[in-house]
Amino acid sequence: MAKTLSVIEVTTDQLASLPWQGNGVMVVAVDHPDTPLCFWHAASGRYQSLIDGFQPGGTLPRHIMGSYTWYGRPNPYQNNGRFILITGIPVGGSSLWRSNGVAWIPAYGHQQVLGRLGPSESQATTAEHIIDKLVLPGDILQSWGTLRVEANWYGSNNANAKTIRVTLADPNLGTEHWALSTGGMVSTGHGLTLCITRTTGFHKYLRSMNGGTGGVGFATAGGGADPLDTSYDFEVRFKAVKAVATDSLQLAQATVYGVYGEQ
Amino acid sequence: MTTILDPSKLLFPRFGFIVNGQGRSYFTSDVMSVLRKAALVECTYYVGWGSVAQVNTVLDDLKASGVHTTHYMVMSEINSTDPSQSDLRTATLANGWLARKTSGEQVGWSNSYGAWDTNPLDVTAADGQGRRYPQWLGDRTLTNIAGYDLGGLKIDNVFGAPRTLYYNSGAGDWSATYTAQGANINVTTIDTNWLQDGVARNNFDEVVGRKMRQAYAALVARLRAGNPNLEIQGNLDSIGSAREYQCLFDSLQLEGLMGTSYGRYNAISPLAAMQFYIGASKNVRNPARNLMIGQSNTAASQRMELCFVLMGDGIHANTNLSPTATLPDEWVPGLLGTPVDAAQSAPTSGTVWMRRFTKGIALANVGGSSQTISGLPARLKKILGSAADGFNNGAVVNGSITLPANNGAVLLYY
Repeated sequence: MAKTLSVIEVTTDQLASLPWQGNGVMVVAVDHPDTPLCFWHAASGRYQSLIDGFQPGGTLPRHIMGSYTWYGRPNPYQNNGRFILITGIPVGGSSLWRSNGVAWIPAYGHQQVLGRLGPSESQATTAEHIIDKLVLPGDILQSWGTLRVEANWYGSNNANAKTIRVTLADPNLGTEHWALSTGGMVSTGHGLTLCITRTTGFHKYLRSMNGGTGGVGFATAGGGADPLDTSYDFEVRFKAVKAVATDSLQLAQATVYGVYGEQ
Repeated sequence: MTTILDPSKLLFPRFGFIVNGQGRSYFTSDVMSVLRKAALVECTYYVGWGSVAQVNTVLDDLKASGVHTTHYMVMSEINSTDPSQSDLRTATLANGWLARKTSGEQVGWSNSYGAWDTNPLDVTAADGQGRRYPQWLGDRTLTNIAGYDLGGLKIDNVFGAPRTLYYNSGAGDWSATYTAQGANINVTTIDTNWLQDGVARNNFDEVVGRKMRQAYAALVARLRAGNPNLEIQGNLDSIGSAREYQCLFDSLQLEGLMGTSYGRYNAISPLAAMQFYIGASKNVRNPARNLMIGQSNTAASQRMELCFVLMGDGIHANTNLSPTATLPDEWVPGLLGTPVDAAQSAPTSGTVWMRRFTKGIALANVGGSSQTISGLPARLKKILGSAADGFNNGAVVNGSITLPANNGAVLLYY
């Protein structure tokens, strides 16, 4: 099938400004959305867009398409407008992201599932412990990212005390922050929805949006004012405790979302 | 600005030097021959150092060798006695651009540098030209460096949130009497009248934090408006991912990441330090200029720090290693060539990190016990060098090597 070819003029200065590093050999010049003007970049073993190489700030031309871990993601400033696949987000899956020039934004809207849990086999006991947890990578919140946590629990429908709790934890330091919990009777299918936002920009501290006003999702005194540094891996932990050993209390499902505002 | 790096400076290892205040006489032919090998040199000059032409002989020499040069500046504080900063003291006093307690005393973040903090927030008064401290300082800096062939500026102490601790309990402004307001910067009783509204605000104040970051963004904008060719490096102790900082700076300087008690490497974990290092590379415009600074002082730990930095793509410097020092055997430009593996975000196994390059591999054992690494590529050998611990003896490595605790190795193909 014939394709329409177009020609762009590239000056010798522009070519000289490209960081070829002796590894670039142009092999194709087809102006089509599926096969943009590109060359073979031996160092990375990929075809790379020539046009992308003229983007400001770039030290290497961008790859046409790529799959990356969160930590291996490209620099967003040098990849403005590009779409990439991130593996491991959500945990165990993958997702599509777009660079707006300063950050990576979920391609399909500004909310991204970061991980799911449940149903958990672990039962609550009379000693509070971690029922299940998600490990999220550092800088996952980027700029002004917000965590949204939804969890559904089920258990014995009686008046015996039961407490379900979500904490944000630093596995390196062994600290937990912002224990958000509810106590009292838990009926079958009881839900817990939390909105947690980073409000201090320095180290991506996380604080609860909810005041200590009671009800589902309030910050207990145990939460304190301690911040959580999310520039490196941190955990979202789901914990529970029950007063009567013969009662049941389990995590049915939990979903953790990242909500990202456009810059 | 499109930044094209000299290809020779993208060969690994990549290292840099911080030679602020050394004076023109410092740059002898011997020193220059070392500096030319670096990827980055922070070579701040001072007024009286020499004429523009004299300074430029050094800067142009380094530039011709592909070395990026930066000049030091700081917005957060002003020295109390340095004659070269007298205009800063005069302007900030006259315009109300100093940070003070609600009771009027000056405040500062440290008692180590004979300095007191500025107030760069947009709530302060403007001068006759509509400038607040970020714009005034930006103009002053551009004037001072006009005509010098600098590659860029390094802004020190880019705090993303207020962090005052001391107040001036002496007689009058600029006294050297530092009294702590509390045990540390996190106590909520700290009192700084940041918004100049008579309300005591501690270091957790969200409004002040945001205005602080906006002030740094305003400084960078002023500098770029005056000279778009300057690369701006920020010395942050965050990864620059706050909204106001994200991809604001061309590069970051991560001071004390390793080799200090407070840096993430020792205070949290090597993995957290690496994740921090990686995060910093995603929130700047030109991550290849990111400078990772260590402060260790033994052959083994310096080797480990260099190898740890080699797991990413940044430049390594050590505050204990000047260009006149005996440099580690591994500080040879291009010794390892170019990376074969992408930057590493996790150890290869246990406490051992490894990255392959075209001319060899780098290994870092960040753990407290020795580790034997097997399954290494064939035809590798140690460097034949003169490190004090005798590690670099040129021995052939037959598929495995035992790395002592907190040590590293650069192995080369033969």
